Amino acid sequence: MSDDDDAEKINLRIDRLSHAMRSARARARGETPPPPDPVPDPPAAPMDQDPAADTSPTMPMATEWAPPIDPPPCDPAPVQTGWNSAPAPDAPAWDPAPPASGWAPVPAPSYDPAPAVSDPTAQPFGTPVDPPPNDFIALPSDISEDATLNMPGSLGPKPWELQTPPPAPEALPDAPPAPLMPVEPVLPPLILTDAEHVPDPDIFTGDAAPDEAEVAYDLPEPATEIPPTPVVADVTAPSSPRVLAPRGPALLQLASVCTDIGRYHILHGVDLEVPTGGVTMLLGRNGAGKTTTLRTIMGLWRARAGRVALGGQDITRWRPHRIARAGIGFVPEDMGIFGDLTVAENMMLAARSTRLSRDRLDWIFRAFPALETFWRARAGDLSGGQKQMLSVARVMAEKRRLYLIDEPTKGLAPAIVDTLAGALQDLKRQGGSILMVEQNFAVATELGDTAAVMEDGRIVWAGEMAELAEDRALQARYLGLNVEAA
Amino acid sequence: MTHAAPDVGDVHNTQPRRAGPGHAMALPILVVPALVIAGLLAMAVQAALPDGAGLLRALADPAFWTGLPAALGAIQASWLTLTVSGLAMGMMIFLMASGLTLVFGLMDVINFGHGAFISVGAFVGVSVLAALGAWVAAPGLGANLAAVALAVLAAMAATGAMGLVFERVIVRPVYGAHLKQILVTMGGLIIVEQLIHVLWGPDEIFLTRPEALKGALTWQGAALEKYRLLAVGVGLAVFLLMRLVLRRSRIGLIVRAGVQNGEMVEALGYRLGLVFVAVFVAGSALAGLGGVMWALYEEVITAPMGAELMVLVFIVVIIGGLGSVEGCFIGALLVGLTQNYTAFLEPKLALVSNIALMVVILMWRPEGMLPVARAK
Repeated sequence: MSDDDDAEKINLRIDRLSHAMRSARARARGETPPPPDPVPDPPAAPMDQDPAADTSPTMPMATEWAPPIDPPPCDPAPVQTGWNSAPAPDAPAWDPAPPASGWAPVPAPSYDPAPAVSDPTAQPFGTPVDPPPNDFIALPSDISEDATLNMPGSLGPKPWELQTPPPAPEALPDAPPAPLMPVEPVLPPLILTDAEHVPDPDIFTGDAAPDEAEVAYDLPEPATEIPPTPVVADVTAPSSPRVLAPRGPALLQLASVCTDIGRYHILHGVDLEVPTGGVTMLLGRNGAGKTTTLRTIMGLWRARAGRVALGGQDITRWRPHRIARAGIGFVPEDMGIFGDLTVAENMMLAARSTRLSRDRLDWIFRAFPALETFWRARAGDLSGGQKQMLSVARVMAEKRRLYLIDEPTKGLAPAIVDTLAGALQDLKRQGGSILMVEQNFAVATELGDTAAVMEDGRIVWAGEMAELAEDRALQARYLGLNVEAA
Repeated sequence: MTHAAPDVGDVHNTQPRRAGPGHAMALPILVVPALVIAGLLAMAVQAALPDGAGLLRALADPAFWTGLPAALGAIQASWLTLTVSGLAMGMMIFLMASGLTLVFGLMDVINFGHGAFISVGAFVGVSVLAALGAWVAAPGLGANLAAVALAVLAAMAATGAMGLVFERVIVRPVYGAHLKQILVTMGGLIIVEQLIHVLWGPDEIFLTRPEALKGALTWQGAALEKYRLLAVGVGLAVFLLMRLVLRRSRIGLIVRAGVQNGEMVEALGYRLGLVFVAVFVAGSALAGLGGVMWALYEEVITAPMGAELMVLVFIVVIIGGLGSVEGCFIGALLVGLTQNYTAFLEPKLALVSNIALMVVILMWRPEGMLPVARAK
C-alpha cells in the first residue's frame, strides 16, 4: 500500500515537473510562458488544458485524454540528422523541442534528470547520440562476473568466493572447457547462423533432450486480429541505417489497457505492440507505469479495461500460470528468487515443461559463469548481481515466445551490467522476442530495436530505438535526459 | 556420457560451504538437546536440595555439591521417562501442526478450523477401533496394529475429504482477508464441534488402547510406555517423509518456493491453487492422524479436544517460524519437553510453561526459529 502511495506521489511530482519543462520550453521559444498554476500543488486535470499541453503528443486513443484544443503546431525545427527527415505521412506531428542550443539561457528544471544513475561509474548516461556499434558484447570492458568477484577486496569476498578457479571440467566430461576467468570476451552464440533471420529457431537440434516447449504452447500460430493501433504506426517509419533484428508480425498487443492498483488508476489506456523477434524497450520515468504494464501482461494485475493479446489470442483474463504456459517468461523487478532454494532448484523449477537439457545449461553457464560456481548454494546467499543473473537465467531455462524483463540492471555494477546485457543480446540473437523495462539508457540503446515511452500510464511515443537514441529532444522531453548535457 | 539434466548431485562443489538450509537449521536444532540436558540438571538440583532450603543458600553449601551426583543417579530414571513422554507429546503435536504451518505459509491463510480436523480424526478413529473391538482386545501385536492402522487410515481419509470441502466452502471465499479468515474458520470449527455432538453424542468417550500397546518397557530402571515409543516412531517417520518429499520431489520444490513467493511460482507456470488444495488436504489428513494418536494417548476424547490442542499447535507454529516444517518439528519437541519437565519440577508452572517458552523464543528470534525467507 505504501507502494501505491509512492506511485501517486511520483505521479504528482512528474506532473509538476513536466509542467515546469513545458513552460521552460515555451519561454525558450519566445512565447509567453503558460500562466503559473494557481495552487502550488495542482491536480493533474487542469494541467491538460493549459496551452502548453499542445506540445504533448496527443494520442487520440487514450480514453481520458482530452482532444487537443488546436492541432499541434508543426514546428520542424532544424534539429539533428535523422529525425523527422522522412516522417510517415500520417504520423502524429509532434512538436519537436527546439534545438538543444535553445536551452542554454533557461534554468534547468530542478530535478534529477537521470533516474537510474545510482552508480557514478556506470556507462555514460546522457550521451547516447552516436550509439556504440552493435558489437556490444565484444567490447573489452566485458569482464565476466567471475573476474569481478575475484578482484581482491572488491566486494568483501566471502570465503567460498576466494576459492578459484572452479575445478569444473572434471565434473562435466562432455562440457566444453569451463569458463575460467578473466573470460571469453564474446559469448559464443548457441546458434549458428544469425544471418538466416529465422524468427524462432529451434535451438537444440539433434539433442538427446528435445525441446518440448513448443508442444506446451497451446496456442495456434498468430492470426492477427487487432488492427494496429495508431501509436505504433510509425514503427515502420524509415530511420537509421542500423541493422535491426528480424521482426515479424506483432506478437503481443495491448489495446487501451487500464489497470488499477487499489484505488489508484495506474494505467490509463496503454496501447503497445511488441513485434516477433527483437527487443522492445519500455522506457519512461519512475512511476510512469512500466512495471505495472509488465505485471498486467503477466496477469499479476488484472486489467480493468482493455485487451491483451498474445499472438492474436486474448489473454487478458487468464491466470498467470496459464499465461506462463502460453510461453511468456517473466523476470520481475524484485527478481523473484526463491531464496531458500538452491540455484539448482531455482533452475529446475524454471524449466517447467522440459527437463533442463545439458546444452541449454551449458549455454546459461557460458553466459553466467557465477551460476555454475554456486550451483548448489542457497540462492538467498548470492550477491545482488548473481541473484539478478539467476533471475534472467531462470527465464532462459526454457524457450519462450516472449520474455518480459523488468529492469535487469537495477543497482548493478557496470561489469555485471555488461554480463547481463551480453546474455540478453544472445537471447535476442537467437530470435527471442523481448519486452524490457530499462532505466540505463546506454543499455537500452544497445539492446533495443524498438522503443515505447510511457508517461503517466500511457504510451506517449513509440518508434525505433535508434531514432530515440539519436534525438536528444525526444529524450529530454520524455525521459528527462540530456537537459544539462545540451 | 549421459546428457541427463543435472539433478541435485550433478554439478561440482566448488564452494566449501554446505548449501541448503542445513547451516541455518543447526542452531535451533541444538536447542532440543540443550533443553533435555537442562531438564536433567534442573531435576538433579531439585532432588539434591534439602527440604525447605533456598536455592542460593544451597548452592553455597559444599554438601549440596557432593550430594549432586547421587541425586543425578536417583532422578535419572524419571528423567528418561519424562523425556520420552515429552518427545511423544511433541511428535503428536507436530503431526497436527505441520499441516497448519504449510497452509499458512503457502496461502497466508489462518485456519482456526484446523482443530476440527483433530477432533473429527479422533472420533472417526475411535469409532473404527470400537468397530474392530475383537482385534483390539486380541493379545496379538499384529491384529492390534492392524486395527490401529485401519483406524488411522479411516480418520485420515475422513479428515482429508473434510479438508477438501472446508477449503472449497469456507476458506476459498476469504483468501487475503485475515480477519474474515479468523471469523469464518472459527465458525467452521464451532459447526464441526456441534456436528460431532450430533453424531456421537455430547459425552466424552473413553477408550482403551489395544492390548499390545498397553504397559511399559523397563530400560535402565525407567518405565517407558510402549505407546509413547510408538508415537515417537510415527512422528519421526512422518517428519522424515515430509522432509524427503519437500526436498526431493518437484511438488515439494513448488511448495517450498510457493511459501516464499507464490506469485513467482504462478508466473513460472505452476497452478499454485491446485498445489495449495493438495497441501490443505494433506495437512487436514495429518491433523486427523494426530487426532487418533492423541486419542489413544489420552484414552478419552471430547468434541472440543481439537480446539484445546490448537493453543499448543499455534504456539508450535509461531515459535517454529510460519511456514517452516523443520521449525515446526523443533518447536513441537520443545513444547512437549518443556511441558513435561515443568509439570514434574513445579506443577503449578506447567500451565504457563508453554507461553513462557514462546516468549523466550520470540525474544531470541522474533520471526520464529526457522523463518521462511518470504518475498513479500
